[in-house]
This record gives sequence, structure tokens and C-alpha cells, in this order.
Amino acid sequence: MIEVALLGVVIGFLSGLVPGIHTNLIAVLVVSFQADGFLSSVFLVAVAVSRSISDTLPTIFLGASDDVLSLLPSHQLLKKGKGLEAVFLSVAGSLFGCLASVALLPLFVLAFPFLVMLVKPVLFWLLLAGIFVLFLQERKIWGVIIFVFAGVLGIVTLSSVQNPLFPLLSGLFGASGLVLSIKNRSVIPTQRERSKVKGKSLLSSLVGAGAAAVMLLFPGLGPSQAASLVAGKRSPSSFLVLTGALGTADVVLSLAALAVAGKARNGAVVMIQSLLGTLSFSTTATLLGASLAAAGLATIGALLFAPVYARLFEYFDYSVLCCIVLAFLFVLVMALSGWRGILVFVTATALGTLAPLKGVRRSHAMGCLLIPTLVALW
Amino acid sequence: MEQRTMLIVAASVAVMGLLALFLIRPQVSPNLVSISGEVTAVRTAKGVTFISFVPNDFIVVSFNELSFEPMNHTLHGRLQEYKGKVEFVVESYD
Repeated sequence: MIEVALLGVVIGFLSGLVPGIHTNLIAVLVVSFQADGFLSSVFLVAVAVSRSISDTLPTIFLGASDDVLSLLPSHQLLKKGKGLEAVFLSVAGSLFGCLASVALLPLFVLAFPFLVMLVKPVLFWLLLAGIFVLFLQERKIWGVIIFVFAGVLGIVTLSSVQNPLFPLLSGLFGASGLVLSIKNRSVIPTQRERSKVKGKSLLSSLVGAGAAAVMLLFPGLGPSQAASLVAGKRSPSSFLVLTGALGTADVVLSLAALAVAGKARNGAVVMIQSLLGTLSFSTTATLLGASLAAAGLATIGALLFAPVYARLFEYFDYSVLCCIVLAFLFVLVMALSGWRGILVFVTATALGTLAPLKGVRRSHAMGCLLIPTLVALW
Repeated sequence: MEQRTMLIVAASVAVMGLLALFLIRPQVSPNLVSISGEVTAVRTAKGVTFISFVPNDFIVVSFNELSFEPMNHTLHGRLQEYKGKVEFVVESYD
């Protein structure tokens, strides 16, 4: 079992380094092998946690553009030569988010089934209120327009395209940033070594774990939407710790949600549910052990590998790297979703590009999932 | 917190996880088990198929979309503990 978990850590870590290879894709492949269900579940948990940590590297180093308004805090730091610091903050968030979510487990296990029943009748209104808060933070009409357009695109895509999330999300949030970087001929400065995180920033990992727990009450919400809703006016370092924590805590707490309430809210956990059905206490504890092992090992891997990844830009032209990644995404979309996927990918990329050009945050494009969720809850 | 401290914390967390994997004995049969008998009734609720099976010493369920005819079958799956009882989770059947 330990060797399977370690294999999951390695596969998850490597897949996280390549943009576009999502955990769900690996999960589908694992299930199609029809291997031992329990060992497959241990493998999937290790992949999901490990990948949620190592994908920090391409997120930070392969998404920068010159338009400061649109940049996530990580990209802002990258443009200042502080990409390694951004990696450190995000990875610290993931590790401490994992620990915080394990610490929250007793409370979560007691409260979750009760809260699911409590909020079920008012889920729609709670989500609507959260979206209004999102708009009020920026108060720009283009934010609303992009949110609505992305929502329409989401509704159309989710009902008519194979593997809809891949072309939709990689277009809105990945390819659009790459296109702007190529257009603006972005140059990445040499990344300076500086790896330190303030204790105060680490508190955001607790907020991230808490937000992940609340997010699990809402079917259809993921870490990205939760980050949009709880980010507020945090400092870049706190924001990075928060988003790092959300991604890892989501996997850990989703396992607990499956065990106590039979609710699978995460792609990998949905696959685990299809493999094992219900989770006993000992099975859940084993999967949590795999999560901790993966979080620790992937953190070490990410911290040691980050300087190597950053040095790539000293040898290769950044625009050329962006073109290669864009071409890779295009081929993956074609393979996974066909021509309809390409249509969605191109439309989503255009919409994702519009946000920074109009001076609003690209996170408004999360309407692509939030509006379909609202429609489903109505 | 500096990188060195972070690496120590990460290594400690990894060791904790690996120890958990080593020490916890999951109450799931390690390999696929086959049992033969008679399916007497099949009921589906909330995506779970409950199978009445003779001999009926344990709960037999399936989370896959399997359609059983009430007759003799060999079921392939896994034994696991669920809420203090032994449960047989069917993955396929002959």
C-alpha cells in the first residue's frame, strides 16, 4: 500500500508540472484499468494531493502577462522576480491547509451532516448573496458582463461537450493569460531566492481550510470559486497561502464528507466513491494517511524543484514557452473534447482575455460554473 | 518561517502519513473475493443497489449499474466494514 501511495505522489507531482493534465483525467484512466478498488483509491488520493501542490509551479511561472490589473498576486510577484517566494507561500498554504483540515476533521464530521440539512433549502440564496459580494468588491459593469457571458458559455458547454470543464477552464484561465503574454512579449526577470513566510500569513491556511469546509456544503462549487468569494482585500502573500490551502483542504475534507454524509464533492473523490461506495472509519483513516504523506513529500519536491523550474526562463524565451504550452493545451482539448471542445476553448480564451483588457479581475469568469450551479439549485 | 523549517515540517508530515499507512489495517479485503449463491431480490435506492443474497450473512450492495436477474450468480467484489457490519460490495458478476 505504501508503494502505491508513493507512486501516486510521483505521478501526481509530475502531472502537476505539466499544464492541462488534471487529476480527473488521471482518475478516469485509473478507473478504466479496473485495478484493485482500494489501492486505486489510495493512489488517487496521493495523486490529487500531490498534484494540488506541484501545479503551483506552472500556475506561477506559465501564466504571466503585462497587464497588472489582471494578474493574480502570484504573477505580480513573478514580474518582480519573486516567483520563488510565490511558490513558497502557495506551497506553505497547501501544507498547512492540509494540517488545518485534519485538525478541523472532528468538528467537520460532527457538523457537516447537520449543516447539509440546514442549508439545503436556502443554498440558492446563500450562493446568490456570495456572488453579489463578489460584484460589490469591484463595482464595474464589465465584471457583471463577463460573469454573465461566462455563465451562458458554461450552461451551453456543460450540456453539450465531452469533458466540458477542461476546454472551459483552461480557455478562461490558462490560455487567455498565455495569449496576452505572447501578445505583450512578456519578459520574466531572473527570479531571486527569497523563501520566508510570516506567521500571520500562515493563519490564512486556517481560513482556507474553513472556507473549503463551507464550500463543500454547496454542490458545484470548487476551490477557485471559494477563493473568489473569500479573498476580499488580502495581501498577495495571504492570498497565495489561502488559495494553496483551499486546493489541498478540498481533497482532505471531501474524503470526510464522503465518509460521513455520502457526498462526493471532488472529482477524485467521486471516482473513489465509484470504486469503494462507502468509506469505513479505517478506510478513511488510511486515505487521510495517504493525503498527509503526499502533502509532505510533494511540498519537499516543490520547494526543491522550484529553482530549477524558474531557471528554465534563463535558457528559453518566455513567449516560445507560452506558445508550446498553448499548442499542448490545443492538442489535449482536441483529444479530450473534440471539435466542440475546440470551439469552447477558443470562445473561453477570448472571454478570458477580455477581463484584463477591460480592467476587471478574471475571477469574474467563474460565472461559467456559478451560474449553472444557480440554475441547478433554482 | 524559513525554507529549512518548512522542509522539516513537510518531512514530519510525510513520516506521519507513511506511519499511518503502515499501521492502520483497513477493514477491506485486499483482493477481489468471489461468492456464489442465489440472488433472490434486487432493490435500488439513491444510486445504491441492495441485493438479497442466499447465503445472507452480510449486506450485499453494488454502487455500479448492474442489472441482476433473480437466479444463481457468482458475485465478484470486496468485503468491507460499514457502520460496524460486514458489507460485500459487488463490482461484477457472472
